[in-house]
Amino acid sequence: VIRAALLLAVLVTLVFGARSFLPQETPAIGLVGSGATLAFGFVLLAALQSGTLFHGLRMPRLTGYLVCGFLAGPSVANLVTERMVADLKLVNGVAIGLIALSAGGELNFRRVGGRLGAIVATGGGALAMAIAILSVVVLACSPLLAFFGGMGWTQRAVVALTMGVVFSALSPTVVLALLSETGSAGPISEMSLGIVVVGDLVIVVAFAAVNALASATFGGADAGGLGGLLWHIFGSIGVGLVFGLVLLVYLKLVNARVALFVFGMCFLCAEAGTRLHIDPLLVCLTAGLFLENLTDIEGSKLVHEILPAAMPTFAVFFAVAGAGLHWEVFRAVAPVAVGLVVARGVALFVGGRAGMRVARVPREERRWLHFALYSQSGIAIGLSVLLRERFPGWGEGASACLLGGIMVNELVGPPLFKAALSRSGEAGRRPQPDGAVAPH
Amino acid sequence: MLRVVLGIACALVLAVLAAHPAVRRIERRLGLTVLLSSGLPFLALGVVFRLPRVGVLTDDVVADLRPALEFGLGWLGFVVGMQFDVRELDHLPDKTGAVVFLESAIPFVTTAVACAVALVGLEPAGIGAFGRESIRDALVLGACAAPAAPVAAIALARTSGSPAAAIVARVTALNDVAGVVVLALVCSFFRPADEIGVWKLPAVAWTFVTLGMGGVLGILTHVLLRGARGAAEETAYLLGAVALSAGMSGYLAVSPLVVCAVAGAVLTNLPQQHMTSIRESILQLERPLYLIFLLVAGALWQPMAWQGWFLAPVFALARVGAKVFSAHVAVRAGPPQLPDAGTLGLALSPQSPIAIATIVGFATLYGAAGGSAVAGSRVPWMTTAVIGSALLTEIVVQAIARIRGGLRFDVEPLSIPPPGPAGAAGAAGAQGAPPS
Repeated sequence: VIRAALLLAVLVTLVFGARSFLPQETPAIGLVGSGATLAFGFVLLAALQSGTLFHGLRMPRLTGYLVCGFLAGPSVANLVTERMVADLKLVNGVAIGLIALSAGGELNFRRVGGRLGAIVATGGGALAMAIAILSVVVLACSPLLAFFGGMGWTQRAVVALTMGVVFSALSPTVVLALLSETGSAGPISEMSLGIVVVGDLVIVVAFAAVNALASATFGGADAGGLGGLLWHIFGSIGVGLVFGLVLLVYLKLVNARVALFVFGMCFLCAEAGTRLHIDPLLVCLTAGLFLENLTDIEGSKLVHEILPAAMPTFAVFFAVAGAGLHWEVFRAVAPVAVGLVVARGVALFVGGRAGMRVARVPREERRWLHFALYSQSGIAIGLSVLLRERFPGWGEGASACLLGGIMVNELVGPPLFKAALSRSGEAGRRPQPDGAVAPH
Repeated sequence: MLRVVLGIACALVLAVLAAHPAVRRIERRLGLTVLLSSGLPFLALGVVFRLPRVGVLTDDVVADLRPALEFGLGWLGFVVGMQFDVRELDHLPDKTGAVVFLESAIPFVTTAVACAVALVGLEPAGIGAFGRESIRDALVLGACAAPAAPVAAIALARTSGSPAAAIVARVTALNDVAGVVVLALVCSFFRPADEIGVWKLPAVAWTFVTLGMGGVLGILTHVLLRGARGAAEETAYLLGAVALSAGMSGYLAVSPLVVCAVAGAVLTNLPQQHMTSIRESILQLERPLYLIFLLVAGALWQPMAWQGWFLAPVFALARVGAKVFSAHVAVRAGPPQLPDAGTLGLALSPQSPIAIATIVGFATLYGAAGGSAVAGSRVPWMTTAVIGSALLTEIVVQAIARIRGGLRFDVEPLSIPPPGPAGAAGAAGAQGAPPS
């Protein structure tokens, strides 16, 4: 911990010194000097050291990454500027791909087997309750929120429903990262992963639907209607199957520099996602599920192989997410955001417990499982930003509220889930291969 | 839109194929170096993909990939620096230093002078246009002439035995270092961005900044790697350290190649328990990164100016002539294990990939904002000259080697021999891979 603190101090001093050379945002000097590489190196190293510090304080490393990004980001120290954060968004696409691939690779339907019903019931119950309650809460609060000004009740209902869907999003990234960090294995770990992955699919579909509804109501940027939605989902699954096949062929025929190859493929997915309107998350998730469930490739081995690429990517991804948190934005919407966080927490707890009861999940698992639901990160942020871009009128205010709430969930959710994994006794039960993130 | 995706997919597949052991075996069998086999297609791919009609490497994609260029330069810098192991120098035969000096200094001076004359001839204003920036450009071209490709060692190992190969391996490695030293001085004494930055320092202070920054970053990398738990964390720290070093130097408008070379040299000379695995990590990523680097470099290259193609043979002739001449002098002044002058000259003639990295690094710093309009317009000529000369030299040297016999250029380029007296010979003999 002392070494990590000292290294962090050295890193901050170095970057502070370098930033003093160009204190203001200036155009890049020639082709180098844009600061993207500097930001990448600093964020990666500082996040890893912060993760070690937080681990020493019995907090998740992931929270360390987030806090590090937040403190170094434009809101506080401005060591990483807005432009650098924007430049590092490329890592986000790759990280989401790697996370989805890992999630798919870890999810074996045969192993989950009889739990599939419980997963669907728990996830379904939690999300249905969250979407319903959040929509009602937003609708009830709409007279107090400026961006609802001039809207009729139908329009308010559509906006409330859209916000409800976005704010219900779960976080496979956080769950997977924490399962990996704590070395957890067991029924709670497996169910958690299953619930957030299935939940994610539901949210992607639901968002596409409400987006189409909102576009029809407000005339925002059209997402392509039903055809667009179908392409988004089934196109992504189709591309994911192709990606899985390519990976299979590569692993069978070449099987060298796997991490680098997968990293490159995820970069390709991220670029394809923005250009072909497919979802990189769904693409990589499908590829992972395909490899784990339909081939003789062991998904967990693939996950281990890509760890050298995944570890730095995750650290940068979460740190960039932290750097993207804007204190000013949060302060302006803090009361509403906190209200939404409480409402979401209650809804997920009640809905999740109800689903577990219906599916007869054992009492001991019921006690801890709901903690996997509270975290939020990449997908929720991505959808909030999308809302702002697609609906410039009300989207900006709605996005600010949502991002404020996501900020709280980002910081509160991971420690809760980590504590739940530790208390349930599943932490440290997975055999740690060489080079794994961290033993618990 | 689909073209962009397919184009990047195509480049990715090619990168994988180029790194495949079977392809490398074919390369070795054909006696090709990295520049002819996988390097050239990537450069050409970059040029073709950038054409507006092809539209794969659009402005957006190139902007996305630019950090890869900076990072690639940093990585190559680390590779160059990690060759500079002072413990190895202690074990070299007497008078090897003279060979290193001769093989670096004579090609540097000859090429710089020849190119300075050619540049004056190419300027419409003639001698009147010869100024401070012309001296800078000539010095950089000289710096690109000093390094020799790492093909020499294995070629010599087959004909002249391991001792000669070991010496030549070290000579080529240190030639790379010499090129980087010249670039460091150029970047300090001909600052590219003094109007933009807040710091106003004398030129010599920039030299100290460059060395100090490299030193601190090398020590930081050492401390980080010492604390790594497992291979994944080691890779993460290595990536972070290279990115930080390259990014910080780029941010200060100092060459990433130079700062990272200093950091790499510091790292390799500090006691490190896991140095072998660190070297392996660096080597594992080296070739794919180099290929991506070439792809981006190709996208940014403007080969259409005829002046570059005029400069290329001048550069090639001056460089090869000087290498052959210095080989003759070196055989007299150097250790007795050296092969005959003709063989040595031929072995040291192929151009190092570091020369391309050097000129690309220079172009990134000085191409757009770092000089006057006249000097800025010369940078594409210089890039074309170095790339064109690399191809020209390689084709001619391969042909002469085959006609003359006794020297086979089958190589495994860009790798670092393990330290120690046995290491250099071993690397040369077993792998033929002096670093570059």
